[in-house]
Amino acid sequence: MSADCRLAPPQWDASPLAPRLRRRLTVVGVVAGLATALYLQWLLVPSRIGNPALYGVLVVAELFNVAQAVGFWWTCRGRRRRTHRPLEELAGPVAVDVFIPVYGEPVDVVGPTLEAATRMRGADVRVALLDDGGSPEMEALARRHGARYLRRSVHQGAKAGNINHALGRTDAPFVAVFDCDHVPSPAFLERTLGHFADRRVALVQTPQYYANAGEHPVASAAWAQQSLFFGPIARGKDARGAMFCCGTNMVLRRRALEEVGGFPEGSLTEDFELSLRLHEKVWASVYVPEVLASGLGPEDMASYVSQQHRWARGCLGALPAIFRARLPLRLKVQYLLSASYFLTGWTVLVYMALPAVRILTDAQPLADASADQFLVHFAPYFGLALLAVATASAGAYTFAAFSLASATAWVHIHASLRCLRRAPGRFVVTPKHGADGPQPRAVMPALVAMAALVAVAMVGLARGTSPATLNNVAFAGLHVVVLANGVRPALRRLGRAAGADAGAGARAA
Amino acid sequence: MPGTDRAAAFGVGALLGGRSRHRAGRPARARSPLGAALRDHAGPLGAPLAAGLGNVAFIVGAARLLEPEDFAALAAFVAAYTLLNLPGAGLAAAGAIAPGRLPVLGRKLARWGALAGIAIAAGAGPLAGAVRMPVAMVVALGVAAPAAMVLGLARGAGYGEHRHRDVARSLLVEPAVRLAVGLPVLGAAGAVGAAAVVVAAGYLSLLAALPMSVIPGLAGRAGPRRRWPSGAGSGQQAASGMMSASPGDAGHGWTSLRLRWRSGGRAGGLRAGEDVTDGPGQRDERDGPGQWLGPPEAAPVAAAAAPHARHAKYAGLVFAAFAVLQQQDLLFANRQLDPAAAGSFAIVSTVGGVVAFAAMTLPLVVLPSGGAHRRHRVNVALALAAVGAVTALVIGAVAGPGLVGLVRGEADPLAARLVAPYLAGMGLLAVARVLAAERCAAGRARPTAVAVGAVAVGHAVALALLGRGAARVTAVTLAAMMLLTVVVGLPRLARVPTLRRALDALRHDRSVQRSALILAGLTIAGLGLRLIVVRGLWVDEAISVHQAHLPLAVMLDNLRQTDVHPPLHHLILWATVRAFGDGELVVRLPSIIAGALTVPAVFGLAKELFDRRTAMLAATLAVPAPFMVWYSQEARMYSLFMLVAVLSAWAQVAALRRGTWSAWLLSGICAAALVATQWFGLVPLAVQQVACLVALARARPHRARGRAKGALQADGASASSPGGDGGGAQPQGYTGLKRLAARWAASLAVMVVLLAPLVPFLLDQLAAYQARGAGLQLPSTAGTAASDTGQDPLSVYAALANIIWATVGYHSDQAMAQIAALWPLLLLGALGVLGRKWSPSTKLCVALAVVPLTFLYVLGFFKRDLFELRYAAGIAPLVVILVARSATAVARSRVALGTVAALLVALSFVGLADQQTNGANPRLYDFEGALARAEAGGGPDAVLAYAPAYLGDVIDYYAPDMRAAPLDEFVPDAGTGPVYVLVTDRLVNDKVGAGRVGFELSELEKARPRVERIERPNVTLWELTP
Repeated sequence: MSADCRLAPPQWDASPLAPRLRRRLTVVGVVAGLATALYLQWLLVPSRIGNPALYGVLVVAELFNVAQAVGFWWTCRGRRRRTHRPLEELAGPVAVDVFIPVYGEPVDVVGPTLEAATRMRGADVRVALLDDGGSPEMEALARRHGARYLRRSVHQGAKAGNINHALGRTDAPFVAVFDCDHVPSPAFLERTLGHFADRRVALVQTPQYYANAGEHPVASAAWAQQSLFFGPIARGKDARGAMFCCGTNMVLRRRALEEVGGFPEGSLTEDFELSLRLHEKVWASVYVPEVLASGLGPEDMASYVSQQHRWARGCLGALPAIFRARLPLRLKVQYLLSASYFLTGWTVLVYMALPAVRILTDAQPLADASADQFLVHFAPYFGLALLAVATASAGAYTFAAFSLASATAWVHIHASLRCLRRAPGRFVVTPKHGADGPQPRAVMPALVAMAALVAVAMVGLARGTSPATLNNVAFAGLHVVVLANGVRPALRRLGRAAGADAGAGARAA
Repeated sequence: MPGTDRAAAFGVGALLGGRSRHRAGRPARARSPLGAALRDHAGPLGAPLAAGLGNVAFIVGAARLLEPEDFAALAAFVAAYTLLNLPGAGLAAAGAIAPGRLPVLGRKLARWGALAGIAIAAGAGPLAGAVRMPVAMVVALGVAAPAAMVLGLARGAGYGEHRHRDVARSLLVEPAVRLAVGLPVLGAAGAVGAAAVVVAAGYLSLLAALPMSVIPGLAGRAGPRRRWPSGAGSGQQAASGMMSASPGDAGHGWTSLRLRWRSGGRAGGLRAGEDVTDGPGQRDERDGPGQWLGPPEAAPVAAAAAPHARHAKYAGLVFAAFAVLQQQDLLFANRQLDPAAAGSFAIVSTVGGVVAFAAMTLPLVVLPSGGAHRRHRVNVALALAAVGAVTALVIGAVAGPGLVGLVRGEADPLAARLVAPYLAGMGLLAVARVLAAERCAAGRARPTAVAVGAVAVGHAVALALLGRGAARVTAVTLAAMMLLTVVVGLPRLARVPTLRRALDALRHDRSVQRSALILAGLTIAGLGLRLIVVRGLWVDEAISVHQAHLPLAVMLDNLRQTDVHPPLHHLILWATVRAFGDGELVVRLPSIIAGALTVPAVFGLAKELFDRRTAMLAATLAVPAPFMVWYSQEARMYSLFMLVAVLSAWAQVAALRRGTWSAWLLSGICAAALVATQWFGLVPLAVQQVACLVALARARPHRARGRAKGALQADGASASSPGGDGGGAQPQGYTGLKRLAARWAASLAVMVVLLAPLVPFLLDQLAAYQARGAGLQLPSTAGTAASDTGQDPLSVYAALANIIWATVGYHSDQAMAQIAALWPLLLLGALGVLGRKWSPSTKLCVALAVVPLTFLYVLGFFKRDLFELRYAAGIAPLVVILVARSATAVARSRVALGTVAALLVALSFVGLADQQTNGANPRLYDFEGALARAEAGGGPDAVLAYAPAYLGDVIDYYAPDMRAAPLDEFVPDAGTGPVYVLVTDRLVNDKVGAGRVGFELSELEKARPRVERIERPNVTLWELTP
């Protein structure tokens, strides 16, 4: 590939599901709901309690997952067909400040973004490059593209601080923000600004599309996760009026920003908390399900882990604020669902630990339950949940995405523990170019878990081959396979082709 | 087939020697092939037909009047006499090239005949011992030799010179003498006297032909020539060739062979429609064939025309080999069997000859000699031959014993059992003969001669080595005829467009060659693996074998009243038992063959659905697939069910994609076969029809215009079918939709027509099933209650167990529990398909695998015994294909795929080994071992009691001579012999059953206190001795 992949037309359609798929999703959802109810009524019976502690842990994990699943279903069921609102609905000509914050990213990554930003139509576009790295190359780049170059003398508040600094030096009524690797479409403003005709709207968000998904396994799996969010979930949140700011590819109303005091600088997920504050102030958000900017996803495991860790820390750190927020219940639940998703790692830990505990100690959470009983109650619940996700994402969510999430579930645990300890977080910019070599450290916890599970399975097989033992060995094996698939991209040399590099592509272009 | 004209039905003259059926100067008029042929041959048919009937009457009379062994000797004599006619027939063929040489050839032949006769007579003593005939009969054969060897040539010359009256006289004299003199002599002088009369009749027949034949000095005495109407020439000879009733007529009509260059064909080849010779000496068409009108000195030149002479020679050899194939079994039977068996076989051969005579006649009449209708007439002839073959089989099956009784005059159980397969063999011979004639006409006489000759030699060797019983001789003959039909039919099959394309690809594409080679290896490996049968028959199989031993009508009635399966497999088994006996391997042979054929069928379906990589892996996995191997070794319908299920799906997908009429009709036939094999075949059939409906929906014009295709039908909806029947192209829009709908409807119509006769059969079975208590008290199907599923409540474990069986085979209860415990690994499958787009092919494959089992599972809640994986056995190959597809989808690189494939194959082999050898396999019943133990240890006074009662058939099979009775009805005598009690473990493990058995055993122990318990897999035998 010799050209920058971000300049190619997007290969994903964020628009709502076709009626046929919606009907299918309804059916699958209803059946999955029945299967879930069947499973819970079987599980939540006193006689089923084996080891009380293990049972309790299992029930909590299952209830958490069921709550997430119900929330997912509830979100996805939301339906609002956004019609395009033309610019003309806004009174008079509009000026838009376009912010592109950078912090040490390569020039060849930023260049296309800057160039595309200057070509946006539909408004008086004032592009500003917000350089926190103080790079002369960036300054030259901004000059070359006729953009303003803004640099801070005091670096605080990370990305949020950088944007706030720029807000103080600009005055357009609307502000668009793009991460430096997200190349906007020329029609970006034409497709988004019209929604500000509604004076309650503070934020218009568009999808965060990874153009490099087809080139790197990590980016591909990460995109599968992203597509689930920017597909059914974001559309559903929009329908519930709960779409939050995602940090890039968005337009904000300056007045709303000023009302909430700009981007919160104390958070690792400044965008998430900004949305919370906007919604508290009864501002509205809009999601335009249309790919209007193409960006780069994390290309290696370390980048992905770093990104996930930041999101987890930020969202989990926002939980107290969500609880405190004076929001309608509907919105509060939506925020809770989003933030608490980053606790999922704990359930993965529980599921991995239970077979090991059973093999090593013979203690098990369930009593009075044969393996085939468990199968008949658990398998439909599990299978239909997967089917619901697959249907809702129109096939975008893959096994690779699932296993990547499992292999990095430790990130959730680590982040939540740090949150509990109130350890200070550090805003780390997601690297824009992946490393070529293996990165075992990025998945070390998963590797340790795999080794432990394999060892436990061996111990189990050495002790005997009773069906109960084999059942738990099989569960351990299941986890090992899933983890192995998840950590695989981190353990192999990517063999990156020069052309697969966005920067190289940009240079070639 | 003594006494009937087995050797004469050549018909090659019709193909090679035909003249235009249109009168000179008259424009060609369209006529139906059959009608044209009948009109052509209406005149010359009479004499041969009458002669044929006369000879039949003679041989039937001989069969009734003579003792079996004497009749066997006479039949062998007539067969040998027929073989003596072959040289004359061959030279008659040569005479067709150079009629001027006929007198010389005739003289030579007479001399050779005399010498042969002297040699035979001189060596009569040793020869008589070798062929087990009376010495006098061998001497008679020697006496007959000079006339027999010339007779064919004489008649051929008569045909060539249009002296049909002479030929007719010659034909009629022979049976007339045999009937008028031979039958009375039979009573007085026995078989030897009859042989003498046959010899005399031969001489008289020769004399009747001589005045106008090739013998110098007599030729000038030829009377006024009477010609059949123009256009009848070659056809007349063909008809005569077929119909002539004397064994000595073998090959007559060769003088009239008018060989022609094949137009546009390979150099030196011959084909009807073009003259061989040009220039001086060429024959005058109007004077009819075979008459050399040029200067005499040119005749040798013409005869030496190498390609033509060689062609004639090889064509002659082809049909000489046919004659040998027809006759030699009788000679071997007479030599190698005991007299009674030889007599029975002679009866069978007689009946076979009569039916074959009838079956062969019409096709060979229809055989063309060229012209506008040639292709159609060949097709009609082949169709008629096929109908004749089927009719022969049906006659043998339905009326065989009656025919034997008619011929023999009394019941002959051995002959009655053998007549059906023998008639099937004769039917195949008719088909092969038509095919061979067509090959010769196409200028392919040499390879055909080699092929047929090789089969004849193989037949002789097999008869010599294996023909130690009448059944074996019949089996060898049937196998030889099958092989013959395949050998001579392959070239024609290769002309089918699809196959032709495949063969072209095979010739030119190295990857195809490699795949074909691997596939052939896999098929052979599959066959080999399936031939390693390590278990005896179990109850269901024994019941099937018992049913197959019944006369056909009785068997069908038995199935209607006591069974729950359609009759296709039983019919095959019935024929197999008659053809090859009822040995363990033999009764399983249809399943074994079907199982081996499933391997390439799986490849074909997988390639049609997916790609070559998947197909190759699927075929590889099908070889050791434990479930498939298990049922390939069971004398039941499940292996055939698997094969037909794959073929049916393949045919349907091919029909949807190619859209040709032939593909759709084939799909209908396969669908009918699926249901005729197993009633539950209706379920996958329903899935297939739903797929057709989906294809129809996708073929709607508004869809066809705008959307990307992805359906199974997609290719067919827009793509043409190169080389198809012209109807392959399916344009978009309403035309395409209408075409698709029309062809689908035609396919359904074919299926319905084929299945219609089975409807009353099914209704009768259902009524009987209800009357039996719907299977609650009695086993609803043969031996179902002996299966390990029993009447346990249906559980998820049962479903899981079935899935395990379908993938890794049958195992002990302990192993099954362990394997079932690994179910969490199945969740990987659910995760693996996450986000994957399913192609229509995958969806169809999944539906065909999942729906039947799900249907049975649901049905099982209402009727427990119906939830049996074998009733959905057709899913097993689909599961294999799905596994292969999953593997190729996940493992992209060659190394990864190789690793996955090796793991899967290793897993299959481990499962197979455990399934086949582990005595704890709940499906493994060692009745054979238990009964062998009882027979060996018990002596003649031993008696056997058994439970459940339906074990009777398996006991009849393995211990037919043992006194046995069901345990409930068993009354021990006061003798001192041991009593054996045979019980299935299933009964012992059941509370009620165990109580019953315990009570009976305690009663028996009163008189026979010494008890020994012998455990065999799933069977327990108690030995009680005083």
